[in-house]
Amino acid sequence: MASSMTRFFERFLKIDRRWIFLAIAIAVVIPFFAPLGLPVDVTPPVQRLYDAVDELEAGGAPLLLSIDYTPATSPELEPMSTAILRHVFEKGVRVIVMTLHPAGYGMAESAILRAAEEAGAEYGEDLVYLGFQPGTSAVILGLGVNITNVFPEDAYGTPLSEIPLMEGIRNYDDIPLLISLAGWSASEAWVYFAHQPYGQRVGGGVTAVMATDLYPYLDSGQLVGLLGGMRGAAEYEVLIGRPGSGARGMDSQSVIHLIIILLIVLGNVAYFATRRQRKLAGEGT
Amino acid sequence: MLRRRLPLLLCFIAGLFMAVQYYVPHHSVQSAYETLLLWLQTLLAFAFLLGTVSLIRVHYHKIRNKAADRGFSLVMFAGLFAMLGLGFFHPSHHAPGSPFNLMFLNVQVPIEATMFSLLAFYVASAAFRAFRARTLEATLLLVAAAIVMLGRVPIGEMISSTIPEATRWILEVPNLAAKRGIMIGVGLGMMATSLKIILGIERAWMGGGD
Amino acid sequence: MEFSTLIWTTIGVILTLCVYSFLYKDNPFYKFAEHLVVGASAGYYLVIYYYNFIDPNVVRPVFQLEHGGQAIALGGFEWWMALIPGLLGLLLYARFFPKIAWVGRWPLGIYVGGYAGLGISPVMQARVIDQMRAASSPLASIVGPGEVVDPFAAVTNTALGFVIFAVMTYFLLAKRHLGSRGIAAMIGVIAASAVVGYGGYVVLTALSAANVVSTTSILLVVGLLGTLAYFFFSLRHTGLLGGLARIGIVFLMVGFGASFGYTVMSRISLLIGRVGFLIDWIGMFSS
Repeated sequence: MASSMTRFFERFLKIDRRWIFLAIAIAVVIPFFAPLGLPVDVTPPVQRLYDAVDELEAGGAPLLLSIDYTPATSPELEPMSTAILRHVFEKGVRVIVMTLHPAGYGMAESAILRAAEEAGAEYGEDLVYLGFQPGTSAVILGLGVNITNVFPEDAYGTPLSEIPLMEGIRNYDDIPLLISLAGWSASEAWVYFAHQPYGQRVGGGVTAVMATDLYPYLDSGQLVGLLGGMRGAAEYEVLIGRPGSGARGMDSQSVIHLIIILLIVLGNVAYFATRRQRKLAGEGT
Repeated sequence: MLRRRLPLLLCFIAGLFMAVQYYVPHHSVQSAYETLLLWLQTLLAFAFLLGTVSLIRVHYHKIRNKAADRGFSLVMFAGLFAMLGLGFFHPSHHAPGSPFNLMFLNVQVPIEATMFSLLAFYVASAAFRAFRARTLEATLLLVAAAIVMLGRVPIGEMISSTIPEATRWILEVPNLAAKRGIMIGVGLGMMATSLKIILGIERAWMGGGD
Repeated sequence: MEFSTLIWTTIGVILTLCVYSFLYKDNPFYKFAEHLVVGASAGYYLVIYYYNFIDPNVVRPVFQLEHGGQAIALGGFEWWMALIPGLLGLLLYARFFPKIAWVGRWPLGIYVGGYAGLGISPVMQARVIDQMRAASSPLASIVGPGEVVDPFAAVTNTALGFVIFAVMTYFLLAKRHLGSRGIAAMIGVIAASAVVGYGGYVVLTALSAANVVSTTSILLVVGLLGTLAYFFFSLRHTGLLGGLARIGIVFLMVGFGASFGYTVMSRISLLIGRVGFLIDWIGMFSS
């Protein structure tokens, strides 16, 4: 006899998935209005990237920041570019920004406009935007020879020779640190084509989906540090003492992770409870 | 000859030269290398635009053949021409904060980002429906996933400091070992494929026909 | 706040809601947004490619005799170096004309071969040689001075790790599946493997404390060998290779579990980002 419990589980397993969608939607919204304010701990890969940026000298050799992400992954990666740009501008470190993806062009521009305005950074002195170049590996290798070969002018058509920040900057020899923020294989391409042939120090910021695959590069030192997803950005925000959209999302993230674990458990309980019943029914016939 | 042999020969020469130049620091080789890098970029740029031409052809045919959903093809063209108009003909198309850029930030960004975020709902639904501890392997995967999911959010840290510790261990030991194995295996595969292309064993890029 | 900002943001909000309407079911609002973004992004990419690459590197050098702010000579070396790749690039479009489609293979050959050649050495270095080196360095410390480890972290990490591993390895070696056993047997097996795991942990911690070898190093090497063995299809998975491959599965599953956890995290973050956008829009009216 199928117990009422089993029947309940059977119906429960067939629930319209839109109820689950609704539960997720509610769970993500509520923490925005009732923040839990949970503290965020810093993990070593983030600390290592922060330290590498923090070691850069104010007004000295610049950071090369490649904003390679596209709109699709921007909620995870934009908080990273904001936090890193805030960090360098606050310290007076100069920064060269570029992108390897055509959609990164607009993402990079909006990130630097916001950060530069907030910090009062001056274009051409504190930062320069080189824009986009196609051909990932050819671009990265080309920068190792001579930046002006790849970017004869900045994103707005000014020849690099006329930009004060670019004075004396020829190739990777003059760039102590490079950070790529990407939701695709750009970070690996920087390791292959900038770190391997030129010994360039490379740091990465990637979506959480990609982060676990890059741990071997962290262990071997091919990546100096790594930010993984919105959580990585939140940790960087903690380190610079400026909580932003990364930290803001962590409460919702906590709540939804709990819900998903609960869904996995419930799904399994219901599955095994009904399976036993199905088996008994199968033996009976 | 011109149809099959020449492309294979060009592929072989370009591939061999690019692979070997790393080891030949002579300035003549290096300047040829720099030139070829720029050529590769140019070809990529032109190849990319091929896709746009194909897109226009597909939707043009839909409209001409009066396909049932041709209205949406018109929407596609509206988006395309609005972007091209703002990008090429608007007087301040090149300046920061131009209407071209505003259209990117307020049309392309929200739609693309939201489409990707739909996956959050489907991953939650799949977690409920598909992830069953049927076998030992699946159980192992689920337990590791649950620990990592808890260990990487603040609430996991509050429940117990062991959870983030365990997460870190999973990431830095078993995950690292497995991913390193995959990385090496795939790396060898990538090299084998590159060699096959250069040596003309892998010719899928030539397409069919003679 | 400027009125135009509000208008643009509101357009973004409406389009966001159009996409979310798909969660209820497929509908014309979703299709509208989908087609709009296909067209808009194609147009955007075209403009970006043109102004960032084709204009400064092909069009201006060839027609206006200028590159990066420097004048170049008509028919000079630099002029030809801009013209030739441009012409080769145009040949790619031969594919739209069936009779001469094969001409497109010439630039494609250079392109495919060139990129393949560029990758070989750096990818070998990055993915194979440096990874092998990193994997073998802990082994070197077996005979050298041992690494300094935080005893507390070492104990918690290894204890936990070994319990998990003992349980899982026991199951795998016994080739048993959870589903086929009763709950009592399952608890018995877990308890037994915890004891086995604890024994292994005590021995390895002792070795580790004596600076003979760190448990982490051993696990990393064993895990790597196991994973490689699992993917080594040229020989039958029996004997030592079979055992290694089975250990490899354990590592792979834990690795995939970590990936899965991170994938969930990633997707949820994207949703949080969009919800944050919507909530900020509502906030625009109160400020």
